Amino acid sequence: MNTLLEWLNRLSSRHAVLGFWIVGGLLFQTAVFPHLAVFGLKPDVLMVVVVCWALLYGPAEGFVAGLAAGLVQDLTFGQYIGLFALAKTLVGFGVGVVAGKIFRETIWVPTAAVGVAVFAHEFVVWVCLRALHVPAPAVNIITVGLPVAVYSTLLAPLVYRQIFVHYIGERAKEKDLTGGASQAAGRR
Amino acid sequence: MLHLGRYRKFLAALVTLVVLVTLMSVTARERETVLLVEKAVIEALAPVQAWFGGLTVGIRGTVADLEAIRHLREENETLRVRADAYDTTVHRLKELEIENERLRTLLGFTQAVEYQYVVADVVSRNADNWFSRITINRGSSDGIAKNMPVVTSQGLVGRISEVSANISVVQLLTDRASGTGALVQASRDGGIASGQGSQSPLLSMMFFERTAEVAPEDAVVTSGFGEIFPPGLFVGRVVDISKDSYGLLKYARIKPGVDFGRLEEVLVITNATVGVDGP
Repeated sequence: MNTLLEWLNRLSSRHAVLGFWIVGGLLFQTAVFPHLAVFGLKPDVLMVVVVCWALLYGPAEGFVAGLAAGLVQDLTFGQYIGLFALAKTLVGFGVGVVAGKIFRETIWVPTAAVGVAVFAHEFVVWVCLRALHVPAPAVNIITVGLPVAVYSTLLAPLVYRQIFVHYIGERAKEKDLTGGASQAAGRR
Repeated sequence: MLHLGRYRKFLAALVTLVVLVTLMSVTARERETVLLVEKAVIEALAPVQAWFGGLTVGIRGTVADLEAIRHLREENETLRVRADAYDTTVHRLKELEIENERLRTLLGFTQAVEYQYVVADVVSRNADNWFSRITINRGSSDGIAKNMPVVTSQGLVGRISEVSANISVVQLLTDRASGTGALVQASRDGGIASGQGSQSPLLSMMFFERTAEVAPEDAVVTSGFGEIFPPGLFVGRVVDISKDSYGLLKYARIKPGVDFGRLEEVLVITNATVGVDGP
């Protein structure tokens, strides 16, 4: 019973933080960054959050983060509900799978990962648009995908550092809990 | 109970992806209604987005004001000259208006409709870089309905694509899924002006006739052929003209009259389809 409560507590606290990042990211992306657009393009803050989250917490959490961020994005403006949810879920999961194989402690790796993942996300969106018969010439993969990926990488260090701090804090709390439990077991 | 096996997780993920694909293909069609959950999310986020947006516009405006002070004298002189020119134009237009009214009476045309407007503030823009949409702080409770035209003093902005009680989504002319019946004001040659996404500020106009008479700087207005936009709304000016590789179709790139990057206030025409004259 205690384990269940601890698990639920950890789950809700972690996902509350994720929710905060998604809503905050969406607000910045829809109300602030349009005014800072370069050649009409703005960074994908939500995707930066999803990638950083997936790098630290793995594929299942990457999947959840991508699904939540994409759905919120779709519901605020989408005629095509599910388009960005699908793209972000797939890329979030993919980043989570790769995350275990790369060195995450340096800031440069997540930054590069954000660039690659945002480009992959724009590619998936482009494929879906073509499938939905929305006019999107192939050149848009370069004219949209590349600049958005580059612009988004600029935000990666900032976002990753903050999520990393939360991740470390969570791990430390976990260690305290398990350490406390094993000490108690030892005393018994 | 809580321990889910790898197989069950895989199945859950697969089902989620299938649901997303299905949802996407179903909602891709033109919808008459907005989902309740969409309305809830849009309405809940709009006030915060408006606050964030207002703050950013304020900061940007202050920076721009400081920059503008330096060029004020020079600009003032230019504007004075331009104002004199406008005075002459206004007199000429007044004459034309009177003449137009007289000729309309002679020909038995119905009186052109006085548009009724609802003024709205832009609350936010779409999060992605593929579509071009904005939300405005007016909805069905203000008399806004789907497909109503949206304009500014510079020209046509787009159409209402989704409506909830207090918020509406506007599909801009530059949206890649948008198509507007348009014609060259001088030659009356018609075509369809389409958006190319947020990264391109220009529209692409495909003419119905390859012999269409069009030249750079020509004004382009709405044709009224579709059922959404009334005729005569200013769309933009021709930048350049081209033909497809087989020489069968004629295209023009149009620079919209509206600066979509700096939209802060718009007007929604609420009586566009009532008694509007044909082109």
